[in-house]
Amino acid sequence: MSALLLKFANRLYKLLKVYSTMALLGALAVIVVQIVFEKPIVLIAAFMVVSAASTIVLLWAQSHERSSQKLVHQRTHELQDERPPILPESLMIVSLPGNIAEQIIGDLRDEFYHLRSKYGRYSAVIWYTMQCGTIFIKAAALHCGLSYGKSLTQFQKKRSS
Amino acid sequence: MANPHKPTGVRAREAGLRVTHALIELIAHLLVLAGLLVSIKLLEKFVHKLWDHDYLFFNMLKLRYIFDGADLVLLVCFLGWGVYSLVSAYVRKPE
Repeated sequence: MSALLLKFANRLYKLLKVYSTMALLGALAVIVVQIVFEKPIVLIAAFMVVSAASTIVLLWAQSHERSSQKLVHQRTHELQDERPPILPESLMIVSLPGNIAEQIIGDLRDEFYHLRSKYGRYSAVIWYTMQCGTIFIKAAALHCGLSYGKSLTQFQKKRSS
Repeated sequence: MANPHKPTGVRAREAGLRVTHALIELIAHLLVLAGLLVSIKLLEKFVHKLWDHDYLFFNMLKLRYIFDGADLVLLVCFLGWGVYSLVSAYVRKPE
């Protein structure tokens, strides 16, 4: 019997907590609704405050996440740093025929890794980009029939004739 | 669901227990609800004695509406949660 009474009292306490919380929320809701009806600008101000607060919380969470995952990101960046720059390489792949491009890119990569270990990534990237640019210009010139060798041959033929 | 193979006495006892549990739940809800409504009413009376009946906080907040809102939320909550608790207490298998 006493156990049943205790159970009933516990149930009553739980109900009291929930109902009183709901009553409090109802009163607060009425206050908020009245304020919004009287001065609608409050709604906009509240929205801005909530937006600013959520932005700050998100930024804070992001910064914490960054610090916790710093090692992972560092390792990822290290792995990415190993590769030669993507843009010049893509330019060569697009401009050169497939078999020639593979050979040239392979040679350039070997040289890139050698220069990187010797002079650092910055110098190696500059060298790689310049090489790719030169090759691209030569390939474009060949494609348009403006190769230096051909022009020179034509010029010599004209002079001899 | 009631088991039709059980004897009638056992089934009647189970039904009685279910009704008792539901009644206990109803009484608990009504007790709490009545207590809270009465206390809100008393608080309202007290506050109205201190200020006017239609007092306006900051010339915008009507005092009466705050208590009305609390009452309304309590009743709506009872209609939802109370009925749900009653039905679940009746449906639950008695120990």
